[in-house]
Amino acid sequence: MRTIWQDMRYGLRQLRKSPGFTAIAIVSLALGIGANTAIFSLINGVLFKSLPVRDPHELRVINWACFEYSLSHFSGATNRSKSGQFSSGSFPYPTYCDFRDQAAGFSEVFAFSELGSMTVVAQGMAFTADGLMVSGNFFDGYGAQTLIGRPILPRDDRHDAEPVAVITYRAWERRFGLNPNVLGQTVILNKSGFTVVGILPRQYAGPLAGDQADFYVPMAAQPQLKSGYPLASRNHWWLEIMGRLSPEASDAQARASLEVLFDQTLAVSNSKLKEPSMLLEDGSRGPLMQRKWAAQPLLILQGVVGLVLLIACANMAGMLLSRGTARQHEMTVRAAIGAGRWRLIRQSLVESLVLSLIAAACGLIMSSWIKAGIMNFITNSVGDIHFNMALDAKVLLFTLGAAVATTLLFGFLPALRVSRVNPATGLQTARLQGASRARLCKVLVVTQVALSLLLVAGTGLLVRTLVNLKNIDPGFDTENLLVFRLNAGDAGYNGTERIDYYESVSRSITAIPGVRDVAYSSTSLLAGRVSSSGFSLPGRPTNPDDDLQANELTVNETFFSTMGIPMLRGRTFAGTDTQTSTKVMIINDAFVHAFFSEENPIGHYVKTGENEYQIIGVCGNTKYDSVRSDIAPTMYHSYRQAPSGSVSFEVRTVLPELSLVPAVRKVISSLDESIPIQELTTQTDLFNRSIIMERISTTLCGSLAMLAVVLACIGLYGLLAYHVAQRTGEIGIRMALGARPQDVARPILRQALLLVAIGVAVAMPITLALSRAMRSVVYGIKPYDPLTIVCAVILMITVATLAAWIPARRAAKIDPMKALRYE
Amino acid sequence: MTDSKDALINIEDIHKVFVTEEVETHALSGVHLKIQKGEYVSIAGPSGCGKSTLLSIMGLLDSPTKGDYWLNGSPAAELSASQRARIRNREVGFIFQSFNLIGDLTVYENVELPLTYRRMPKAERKQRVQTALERVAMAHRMKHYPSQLSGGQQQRVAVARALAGTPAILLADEPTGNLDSANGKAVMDLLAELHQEGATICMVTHDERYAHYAQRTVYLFDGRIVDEEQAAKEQIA
Ligand SMILES: Nc1ncnc2c1ncn2[C@@H]1O[C@H](COP(=O)(O)OP(=O)(O)O)[C@@H](O)[C@H]1O
Ligand SMILES: [Mg+2]
Repeated sequence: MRTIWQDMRYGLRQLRKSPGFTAIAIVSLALGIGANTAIFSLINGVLFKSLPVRDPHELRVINWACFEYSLSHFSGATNRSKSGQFSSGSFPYPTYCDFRDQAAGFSEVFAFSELGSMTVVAQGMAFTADGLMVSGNFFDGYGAQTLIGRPILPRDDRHDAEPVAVITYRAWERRFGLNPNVLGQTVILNKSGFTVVGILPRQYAGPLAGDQADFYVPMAAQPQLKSGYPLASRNHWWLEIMGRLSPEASDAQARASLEVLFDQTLAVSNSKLKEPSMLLEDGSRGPLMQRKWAAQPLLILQGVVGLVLLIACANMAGMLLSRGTARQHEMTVRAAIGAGRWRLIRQSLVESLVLSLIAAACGLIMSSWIKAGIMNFITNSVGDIHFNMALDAKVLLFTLGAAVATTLLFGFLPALRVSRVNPATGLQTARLQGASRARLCKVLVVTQVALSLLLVAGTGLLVRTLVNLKNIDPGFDTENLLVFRLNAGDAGYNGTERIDYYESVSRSITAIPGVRDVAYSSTSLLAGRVSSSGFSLPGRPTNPDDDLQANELTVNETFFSTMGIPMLRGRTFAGTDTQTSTKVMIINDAFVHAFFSEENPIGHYVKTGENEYQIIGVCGNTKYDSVRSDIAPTMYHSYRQAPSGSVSFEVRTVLPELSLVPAVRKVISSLDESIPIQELTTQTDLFNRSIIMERISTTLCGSLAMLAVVLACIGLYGLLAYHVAQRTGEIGIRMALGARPQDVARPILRQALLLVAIGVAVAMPITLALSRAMRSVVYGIKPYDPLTIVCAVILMITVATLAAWIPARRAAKIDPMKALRYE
Repeated sequence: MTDSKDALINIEDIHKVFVTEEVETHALSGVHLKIQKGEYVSIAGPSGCGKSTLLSIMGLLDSPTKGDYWLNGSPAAELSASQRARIRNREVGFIFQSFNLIGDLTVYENVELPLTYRRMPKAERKQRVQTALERVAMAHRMKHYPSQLSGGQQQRVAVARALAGTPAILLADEPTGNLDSANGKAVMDLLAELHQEGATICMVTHDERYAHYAQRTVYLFDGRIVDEEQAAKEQIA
């Protein structure tokens, strides 16, 4: 132990003696370990982390399974196993009650159901938030406590009880400014009042992966908040059930008891399940299905960063080999004074371990930045997702494991080599071994170059795709456009009331200085939402078998002018196009091309649903749900003739759009403070979000490619530096015989280019195959995009030449005198 | 006294100081030496007296800290690295104590090496390598690698390598130092023959037995020339 400690101290001193080597080694290893740790902590958070509740190992998720099913009102996910068995965790409420009251082996059986997004009014402010509806015994069974106040209790879960809610710390912080007076206050959830009775602690996490629920209410709130799912019905499947196993009970026992109860339930319902059975799943991490789904892309990512760490290890091995040459003399001396082989190996390994541990510590710090970066990126683009990503023993163990594994990976071979010194002959034998290890290094470098080229070319295709997407003209002006949704329907407005309300919102916002135009529509463009419907063209020769389909959008009169969509023919909607006048429609150019070709469509009729609409105008084409999707035939309805409950507002501004938000908020709360502004954003943001997957993959792929290129260059550099160090004597002889500096430098550059060329040649077919496989991902470029591939190759060659430059220069600067002296 | 311009090697008041880790080593302190074309000079003296340093400066492997050096009439001071390499390649033939053959190259390739640094057609290179190897009686081992040869054979190949470029002067640093006496004598005999055929040779040795092969022996001590003697053989001739 003492000697290992000594070895470590000595190792540290060695590292301090060559700061350049140490810095490069630590940075490249730390990047590799950091990226891996970051991805692993994400995976850990999604897949492995126990819920932060009392005795999580006692929790079970209750599922049913069968071979065929017919259910009348089913909501939830089903999973099909390889044996053809279906399973699901969705149950009717009465079944839950049976389980809770009669099942053996459980200390508690509790249930919950997601409420999705609700409109919340609290402290005079309206906003939207997600909710979870839970059984009265939920908190007791789940094993969570409140920070202040009290949890929801069985007595709250009765239809005559006063409605109560429990809120998360997150909501308390964000919506109530951590004000403790929130207890006892009433919040309005979708128009019904609930008294806040408790606040959950900060580290609380709900049972569902990526949990976003901030407001917990009892099952008794079902009529107000989940009206489509009557508690009394045995035919509505919608509730997730978990149980807490008693310490003395077994799974089999509990399962048998549940199966008896489940059969009874089925007997009195109209649902049909073939060979029904119960499945008890480990509930310490909540229901599994969602976690698997969320972890999928992370597992792929882990594979890629794992590869990057391998490349880093290959590099380290190369660098240690080259350093080993420089230290061969020291090892010879150590061997000469009696150090055994194992002792030399240990010394080398301990030095590598010291390096890895420092790198791991740096990697751990880097991982928290990388993690925060990824989470930020995802949150900004997809929305709030809550996983418990905090550092835990597992992550620390993973990092430590990565450090030890990398030590063995990169340290062992060089250690073996270094230890194989012969104190008598010293350098002579070392040179003979050199050839084989140089070959090994070359293979490693070629592999690295090939892999990096693959990543670079892939990134290149993604970057070009992204550029193409960004340059797409969506058919309307996205600049200076503020977008948000209002839902007057939920606030109880109907028909003409809605029109009046939205018109008054329009007028008030138009009056705000800095606003140029205001419009509204059933959804905003590029928001990822699209609605379409079948139609027919009365009086036109069409094949009745044709299933004519077109997108549709309901808009107000100012929509086209506000958005900057040109009218190509006819007129736009007018205030006179009301529910009592002729039903009218505007179609886009694509519609005309598809169904009228050369003919003027104005005055023709389109029938959708029960109604016939007269075409009054043709407008320019625009992208609808996303910039990537093709422009489809689109029908525009007049809002006055089809007033939907909620609409998207589009506010064209002359000032920066977000600077008008306070004024807009004020106007809207002054008109009706019970209607919250939702999904407030800008049109450019919507545009960017519609290419979010491309941006995420380009950024991740780009960073990894950059890392891979840097590592490949370090590898190439290491190999050549090693080569030069090893051949110092030979280079000295050559110079004594009259080789000029460029005569010794040139072969080194040539060798670098040769290795890169081999790497490129190896990677080329794979790159071409990759670019074919990426056909569905790329946009606006041909499958084999020569420009991208040529650029990737040029980049590789340039960077490799730069990496080779240093050792080549070092060779050119060798002093033949000194070289011969050491020979 | 011959004019300095005529001498092949003309060294005037050369000093060489090595500075390592704040220790100054005065390897040469004011050396004067002239070598005429066709001369065979040996430099003798105890280990560490500066013999190798002097030879390196002559062969343009190193430059003096102070003093002047003319090689074949031109000053060596203002040469660039490339120019020095060019002169090493064409005017100087080195023979080292440890042979310094390149292990990865065959005998043929080793001898050819200095010629590859000139723009010389392959046929001529072949011709010269052939001649040089025949001259040292190693032509039959052309395809061998140095590790397959004995020390004496390796040194003969090294001599062939030095000869192939037809240099103005052969510089040999203890050429027999790593050889047994039989092989050592063979190499010394070879050098003597080359001298007979007209080669200019400057050889470092601390082996008294071989010093008399030269026409003239220069004794170096502590970086200074302390004595010079003409060999009796030469005076008889
Ligand atoms: N590159 C060098 N750096 C430092 N000291 C050197 C160097 N080369 C030679 N010396 C020193 O200069 C002195 C003369 O060395 P050298 O010419 O090799 O002696 P010789 O060949 O006569 O044995 C010695 O003391 C040696 O240690
Ligand atoms: Mg010497």
